[in-house]
Amino acid sequence: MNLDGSVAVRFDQVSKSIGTTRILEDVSFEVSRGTACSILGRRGTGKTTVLKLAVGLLKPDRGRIFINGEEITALDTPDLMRVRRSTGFVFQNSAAFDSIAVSENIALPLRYNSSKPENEIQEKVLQLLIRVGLERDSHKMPVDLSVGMRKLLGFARALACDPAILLLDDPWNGVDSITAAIIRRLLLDLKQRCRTTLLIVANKMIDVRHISDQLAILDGGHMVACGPLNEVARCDNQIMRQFVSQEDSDARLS
Amino acid sequence: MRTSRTSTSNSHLLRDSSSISRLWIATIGLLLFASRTLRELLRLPWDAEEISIQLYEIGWRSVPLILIGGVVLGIVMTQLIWTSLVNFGAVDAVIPAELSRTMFRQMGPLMTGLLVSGRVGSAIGAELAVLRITEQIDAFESLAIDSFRHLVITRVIACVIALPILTTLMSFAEIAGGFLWEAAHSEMSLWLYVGRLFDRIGWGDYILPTLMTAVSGFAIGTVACYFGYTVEENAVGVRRASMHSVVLSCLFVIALSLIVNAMMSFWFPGGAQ
Repeated sequence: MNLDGSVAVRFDQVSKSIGTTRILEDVSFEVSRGTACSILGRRGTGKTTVLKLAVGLLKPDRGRIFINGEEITALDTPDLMRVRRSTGFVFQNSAAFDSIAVSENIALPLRYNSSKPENEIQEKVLQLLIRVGLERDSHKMPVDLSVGMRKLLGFARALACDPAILLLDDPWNGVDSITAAIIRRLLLDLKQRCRTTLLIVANKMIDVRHISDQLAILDGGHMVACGPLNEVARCDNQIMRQFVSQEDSDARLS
Repeated sequence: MRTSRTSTSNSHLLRDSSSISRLWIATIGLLLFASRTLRELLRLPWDAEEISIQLYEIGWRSVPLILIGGVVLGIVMTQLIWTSLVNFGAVDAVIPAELSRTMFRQMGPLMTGLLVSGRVGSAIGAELAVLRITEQIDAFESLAIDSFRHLVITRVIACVIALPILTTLMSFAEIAGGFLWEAAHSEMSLWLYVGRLFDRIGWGDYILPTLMTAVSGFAIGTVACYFGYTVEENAVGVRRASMHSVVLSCLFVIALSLIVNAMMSFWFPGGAQ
């Protein structure tokens, strides 16, 4: 395993159970700074658990997790909060704060985690709203947005504090093809222009093909393949073959 | 048949033992949660903006319920006191004093606690449970916002501040209700009624029971937040969080009322004059 400062996320033999169910078993992988790694796998194989472990929302039963070289499994709450300020998390269901307006959802992390004056916060909020195409919806409540728009709101909120690492839990789930394209463009822009490290959970190869540098395949809580996208995509693994054939049929349909 | 009966009996035993272990886990969990709440309460700064929002939700929006409940209770209590005292040969003149003593010492704090437990306890329990199951609490944490301080501490502080104020309102609303009954049944003037209210009570009758409602506020806030914040299931979890919040906070309020009453009888056996 690479231990130098170029590694943004590193899992070292991580295991996790919830109740009596084993979710992850000895999962190890690392993501270099400024690159994108996608985790593919069927539903219920522990992909979301990997992301929640990476940001300290869950604690592993065994193993170590490093974010920007810091072992988050050994950190106390204030230090964990400090590490979280360098990460962003886009939830599968967006997890928008439904009691406050769209613009306030984005402003909230800025108010808590930065010492910016209110006018700069509002300026930053507007920039983010324009970036995700929600500038006309800033005063709406999250409940008034469609699934895709809520997903974009989740994006904008996660980007509010300019995270060095962005964790995305199935950002294409339940969104229309136009929103899916916007999300792909945003991710490419983040990777190429902002050099943001991306750790993406996805269900379809077609969504991550042009973004990912690295691919990891989870099956039954085990990491069955991990490496450069082209190598993993060609490997002789039943799950991988299913994803590639699904991608071919998706491409034909589109 | 015997096998079936044995297995049914075993399943009852298993269910009972699992209920006991769940109760045990919940009790330990609540105690740990309450001790964390106390520790965090002492750590400054507090989230003043969120506390003011919660004070509006918990305190200000409870005012109509407290006022209406207080007036109705005052009417009922005056009628009961009047019936009892008249049977013992007392006159109308002592009713205001007896009423104010009962209201300030017991009924005001108790009824406020119970009404707030029902209205606010269930609301906090359900709200936090929904925030948990829709991953909004995880979202706070992922944004490096301490969800415990932002959601739990602010609500507990709002309950602690709101309860004594609502109790004072409740006590005066009850006295107003008492006057309405008195005015309908005798010719006592408002000024005479007000003058006689404070014949047999002192500041001690008001201050200690009212301040102790801050403890009720802490109990209501902590219990409701515990059940909501730690919920693990979906719709069933929300229902349980809401129900358990109300039941347990009502029990705490009643227990605290008994303790305060015992303390008042010990320190001020003949009234705090």
